[in-house]
Amino acid sequence: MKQRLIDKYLPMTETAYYILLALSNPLHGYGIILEVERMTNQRIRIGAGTIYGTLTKMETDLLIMPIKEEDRRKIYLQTELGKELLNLEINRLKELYENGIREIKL
Amino acid sequence: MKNHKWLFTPWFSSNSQHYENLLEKMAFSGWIPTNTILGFMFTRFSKQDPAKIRYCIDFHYKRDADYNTLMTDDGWHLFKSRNGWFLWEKSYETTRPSIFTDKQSLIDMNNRVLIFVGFILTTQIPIYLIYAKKLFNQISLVWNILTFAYLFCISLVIILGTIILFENAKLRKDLIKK
Repeated sequence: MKQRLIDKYLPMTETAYYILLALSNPLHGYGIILEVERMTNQRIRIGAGTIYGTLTKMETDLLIMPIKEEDRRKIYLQTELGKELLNLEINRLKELYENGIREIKL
Repeated sequence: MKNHKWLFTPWFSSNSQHYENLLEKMAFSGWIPTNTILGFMFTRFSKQDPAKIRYCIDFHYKRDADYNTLMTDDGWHLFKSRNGWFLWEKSYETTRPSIFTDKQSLIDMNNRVLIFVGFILTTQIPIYLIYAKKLFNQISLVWNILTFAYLFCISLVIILGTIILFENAKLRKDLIKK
């Protein structure tokens, strides 16, 4: 199952990466939009439809889970599986970055 | 001069952007959409001050309060929803907003429509098996018209599904190129 999810999500799209990253802390859908905007200095503003679709998919794949509901807003948090996938992606990005820097310096 | 008009606004699920753009263009020229009927096929516009309004179409066969809350939190107003289709609107000044900000979301929406189309077709199989013989053996004109209408609708649904499949393939190709 984990391999299927790795194949499905990695390499991650910017949208998936930032949504999963934002959910290191509990947030609702609109909170994620604002948090991603803050993290990227307003470079990325994820559309509400895109957020909803991605959250639904990630919840089905158990990468995130709703932990409570406030005023008809589901609050989500990443699961251990989600964290594991995010770490794999961070390591992949780190390798890309380090290889790029090393080769450019040569 | 009339201050309202109805326009025939045909659109197709796989290229809903044409319909969205038409509404936006009309609003910008001072014809603000005020109503839409028959699956957004006919739209009523009324003459008002020109406005920059973005319109977006989405499809969800399951109603979800969380979805509506998220959209309204992000400043979208539900213009109309019918049979799983949602038409959202949002006024803007400079940056043109959109409910979808990546191609994968469009592919996912098309897939939701495909599942719905697949469901409709599947439910037709038992009806067809039970009534096919009866339908084709009828000699009355009314039954013949009904048979023709039924087969015509089913053909339309099949064509719709095929076009969506092609549109998704095109979107996937664009994603891979990126």
